[in-house]
Amino acid sequence: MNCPEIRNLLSTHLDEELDVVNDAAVAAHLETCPACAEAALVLAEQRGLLQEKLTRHRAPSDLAAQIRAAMPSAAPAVATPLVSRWRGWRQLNLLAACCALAVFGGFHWGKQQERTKIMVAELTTAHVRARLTGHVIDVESSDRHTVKPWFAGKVDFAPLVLDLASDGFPLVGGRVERIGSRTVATLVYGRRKHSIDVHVWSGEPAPLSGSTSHDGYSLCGWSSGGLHFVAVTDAAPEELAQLEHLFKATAP
Amino acid sequence: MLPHLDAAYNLARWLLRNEPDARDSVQEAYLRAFKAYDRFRGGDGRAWLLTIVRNVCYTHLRRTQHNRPPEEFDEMQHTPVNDTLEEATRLRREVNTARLDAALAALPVDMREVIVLHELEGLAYKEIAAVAGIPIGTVMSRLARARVRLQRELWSTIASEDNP
Repeated sequence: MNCPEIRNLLSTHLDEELDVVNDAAVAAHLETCPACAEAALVLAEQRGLLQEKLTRHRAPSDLAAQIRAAMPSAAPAVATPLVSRWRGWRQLNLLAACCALAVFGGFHWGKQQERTKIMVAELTTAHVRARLTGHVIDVESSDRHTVKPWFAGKVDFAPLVLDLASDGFPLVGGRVERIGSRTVATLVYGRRKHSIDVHVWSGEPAPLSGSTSHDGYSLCGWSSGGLHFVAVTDAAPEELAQLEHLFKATAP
Repeated sequence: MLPHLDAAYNLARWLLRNEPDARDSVQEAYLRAFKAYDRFRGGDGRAWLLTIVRNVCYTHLRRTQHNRPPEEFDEMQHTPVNDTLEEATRLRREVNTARLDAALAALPVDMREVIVLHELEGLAYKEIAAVAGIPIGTVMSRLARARVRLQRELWSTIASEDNP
């Protein structure tokens, strides 16, 4: 490629969005061409300027309440008038019998579904709560040799802590979370402008396997090496699939 | 809580460039999202919501500025930035938030949009393509052009300040 062609790709190269072949070609060219290398640095300066000073407007504090008030209320509760006490009792008994049947019939299937649903909601809440309260990490370090020992004594297993910075998921730190009745180790990874919580469990059946979403957040669960993992993020679900792949590939 | 509210508001605020319109559009978008939720088949909830926000904003823009002259083809826009590193560093040092915001606000809406989604919301090209309904190749070239245009806007704000 010649210089003008390289210049056209610089912006995409900087964003790490070029395909492997072109990216390597651009990188090789920048090694040997001072003029194009300078053009790349100029773009990087602009990127720095935007990152430092461009305004990200935050929603006004009353907007959420205003929107919620405008929402059609979901399924308004229907008050059932009891015509007479006797008839009411009979209906109630019938209802109770039906419920019992339904409950027993769907119990085993329903229990698992319900457990997963609660787990997904709890994990999403933990992710959001940590960011709302600013309590995202207890131990801040990009060094897994600092983060892993920190969990000793706080959880009753040794979590798998990976440094994935070279794959675009820099380790930010860790914290402990209480999910259901379990204390779990939570690793926090960065991903572009987002962060990802990776909750690590041991024992019991896996809390979630496969990917799902809750309230617009993406979740992905997998198990490997005797540990269970659930990743939660507001970034795209594909990011989690990539993280799962990295964890599985690196697991002992 | 409403998921992705800041992201939704930030996009609307930058596309419409004023608070009241941004508020109205974000509210409208959440109501639409709420009604259409059963058509949402999982996947990327944020991109799905931002797509709705964007569509509401564009409808608003079409309604309010139908007499806007079409963008003239500008050769400069297609020429890569020719600044020296020294100049770029000076720009980074001297431009403050107000000037930078004004320069971005002066960009055409389609360029503004890709800069906001990429630099402020951290969306990958693929996600921007989904939100804006354009091919990835277009995201690529539009972002590159937007950066050139932004750099020129920044220089012109500096120049107007140097020679009032």
